[in-house]
Amino acid sequence: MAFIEQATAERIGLNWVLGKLRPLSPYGKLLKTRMTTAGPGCEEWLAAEWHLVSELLGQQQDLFLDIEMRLEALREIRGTVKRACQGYVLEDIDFFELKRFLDLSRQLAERLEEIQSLPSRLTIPIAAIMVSALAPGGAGEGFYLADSFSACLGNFRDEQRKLKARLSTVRQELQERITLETGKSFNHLGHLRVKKLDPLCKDLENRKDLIVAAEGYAEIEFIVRDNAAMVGLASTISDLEEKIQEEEYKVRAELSKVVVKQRRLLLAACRRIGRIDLLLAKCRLARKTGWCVPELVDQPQLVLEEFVNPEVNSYLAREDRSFQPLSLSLLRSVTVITGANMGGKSVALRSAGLAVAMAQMGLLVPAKACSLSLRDFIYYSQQEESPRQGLSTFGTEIHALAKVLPLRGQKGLYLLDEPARGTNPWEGAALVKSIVIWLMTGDSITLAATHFPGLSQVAGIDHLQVAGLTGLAAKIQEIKAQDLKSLHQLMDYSLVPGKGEIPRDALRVAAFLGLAPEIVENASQELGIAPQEVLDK
Amino acid sequence: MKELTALALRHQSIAVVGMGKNTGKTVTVNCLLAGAAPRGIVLGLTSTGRDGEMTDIVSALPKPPIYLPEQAVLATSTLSLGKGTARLEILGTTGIYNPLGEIVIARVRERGSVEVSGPERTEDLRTIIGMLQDYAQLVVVDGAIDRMAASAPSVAEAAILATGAVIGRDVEKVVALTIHAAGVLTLPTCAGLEEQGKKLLAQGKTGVINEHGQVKEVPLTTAVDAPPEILDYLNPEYNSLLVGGALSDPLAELLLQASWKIPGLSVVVDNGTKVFVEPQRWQRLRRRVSISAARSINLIAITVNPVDPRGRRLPGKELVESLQELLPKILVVDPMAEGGMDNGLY
Repeated sequence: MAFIEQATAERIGLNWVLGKLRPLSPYGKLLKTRMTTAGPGCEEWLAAEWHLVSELLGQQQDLFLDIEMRLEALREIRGTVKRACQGYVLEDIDFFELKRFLDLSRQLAERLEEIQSLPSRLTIPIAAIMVSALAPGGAGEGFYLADSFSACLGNFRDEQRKLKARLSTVRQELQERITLETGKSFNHLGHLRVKKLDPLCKDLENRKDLIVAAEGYAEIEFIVRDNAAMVGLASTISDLEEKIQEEEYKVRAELSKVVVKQRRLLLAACRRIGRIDLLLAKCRLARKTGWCVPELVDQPQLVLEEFVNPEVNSYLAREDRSFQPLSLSLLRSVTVITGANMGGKSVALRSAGLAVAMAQMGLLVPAKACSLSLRDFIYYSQQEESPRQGLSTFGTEIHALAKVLPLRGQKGLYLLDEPARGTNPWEGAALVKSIVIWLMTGDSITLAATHFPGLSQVAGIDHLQVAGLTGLAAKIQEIKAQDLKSLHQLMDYSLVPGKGEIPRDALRVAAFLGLAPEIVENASQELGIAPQEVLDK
Repeated sequence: MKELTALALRHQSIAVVGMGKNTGKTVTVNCLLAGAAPRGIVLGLTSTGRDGEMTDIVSALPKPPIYLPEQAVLATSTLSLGKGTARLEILGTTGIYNPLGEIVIARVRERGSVEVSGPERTEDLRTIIGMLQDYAQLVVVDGAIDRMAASAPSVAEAAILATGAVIGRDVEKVVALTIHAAGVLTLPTCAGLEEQGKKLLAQGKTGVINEHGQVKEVPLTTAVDAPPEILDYLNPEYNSLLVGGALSDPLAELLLQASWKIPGLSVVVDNGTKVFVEPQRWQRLRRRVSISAARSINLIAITVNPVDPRGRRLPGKELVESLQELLPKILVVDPMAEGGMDNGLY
């Protein structure tokens, strides 16, 4: 079984957390997509990763800003390197990208040297031969196939420049001579324009050194006719251009070969930059959510102290509320949570799953303290109807459980959110009880939330209870309206050891949520409670 | 011609827009380039999209290329880089793409011709002008009035309009169309338009606004086909229409009808390049409805090309003089006129 199903990752908020994990460079982003969970046996690697992230969190912040700016500026070069390896000759723009990459990775390497805690396996290697091969293009940020790349290139270009200048001078002299002789001047494109009625027109037409370029009904435009010397110059210039381009191609081919030669170093630099980028992204995430370094234990346990669910907290923050930190100890193989509706049972389940998933992905856990043993998988009960497969709510749930329950021998984390709620309470309660007993053997940890009575009496399981709407009578005076907001204010979401009975808060919660009073009253009569007791207890 | 360059050099970015093909836009750009080089001014160049083809479609003659002197910088796409004779140093990438690849910033190391194909979106153009300004004192945008990213003038500090014989059969027609275009481009700025209204316009949405500056959005995907629902939102209180997209002929007609019912009706467009109303209707509309723009365009000059691609020539001097007479505040020149300018380039 996979470590986590996509639906579970969505439900426990892991996808939300991963969405907030934002590497800056293309290398970090790629590495993020390849992130996997480290299961049992990877304790050492995980501990080292958590340690590294926490060490980085202790470093100077200004330094990080500097590093992050450079990470953000990095662009993907692996495609370029690959093309070079396939035998293609790279273009100027590719060399520019490589030069920029080398520049930025050198700057990154320099900055990272200031961090002592960074292990040497994360040092960014510099492809020094590539750097010096690109150097003739100038030390600046740009790339130019300069004359200095090859002696031939320089010579050809020099010669061509001289010839161009001479051609330009010769043409200009010719134009000047014509201007002197005729009194007509050329415009910037080298055109000489005269009116057809101008007596000079005939003379100009007869001149050997002018040809007609364009003619209108009233005007005529001349350009100079290139003499033999000029034609010769022009053809030498274009011959030289051909040689120059050939030479440029050779230089590019040579440089591409250097890329191939240095590919290992270049790709290693990409990988390590990716690692560092992802590490820093983990730091930023931890700084945002709060963090602790998890502690690994051998026995199947999960202890969370003041865990703040980052997803729920971010929603609450929009309403100016905050998450009541959750403390949870799963010391035995099965723990059952009971308690009021709207009391945060599901959130507790999700938080337990999220903490484990985050830790095993090498992220720090947003809690005051956390100790866990690594899990092989996380299962969260599925309860969506799937009419397409012909399964009801109950059917879907049992279908999934049938597959996953036999895996109790593995190190799993079963999160059962009100199991068997889709069927009648008598059979449901019996079913859940036997599932719970089944899960008591094996190496798994189970956390189940339920409203069914009787489960807490099972010997050998822990029972936790949501504190709920206790002390309501004392607070009820302060509350003006019975609504959702005041319900949130009154609810104590903390988990306390269970008293062995199922709290009866459903009617009160229903009243707070605005169910018609008549319905609530009738229901309480049905239970034999006086209606006012529903609220005044 | 010295006058034109001197005027242009007073600004930091200039958009050259043509009223159509063969109006001498490239000649005007070259003219600015040639004028700046001898003065030691480093120029930056980009365009909105790419000028379609290398040869003229009618005459099959090569179109005038753009020549850049050493040190000039340009923003063009990767596929256009190798197309000219100039040798270029690549200075940076922009992360902005057009169909010919990513747009890169390059510096001319050896002068020659270049092919320029710049960004297609107005916002990107703004970014790229900013990037070019890191290296250049004056940025020239080779724009087009009849293209999608036509808002080049609204992004640049100043604009030059290129017009020519190709747009009309005689001097009178060319002058009429040019005056219309100049009038549209230089719409007065809308006074007192608040941030909310400006944002609405920039997003291309439609809205109505009252005299206190309160804005109500009109839920329409476009107003270009003049949906009559617009009339439901216009009333004597909310009597000003914000048109984020194009002010089209049908919309102008709708507004003309509405103007009889709603006193003091006014229209605000984002900038003058968004107006596509034919001249006669525009005249009627302006008489009945007050029209203004959120972003003004600083039109500093009009260049005239008296020859059309088939060689038909209108009297250039007469064209220039008639335009100058009607637009006394804007410089009107024919850059190709005899004895034109300093011949600075190869």
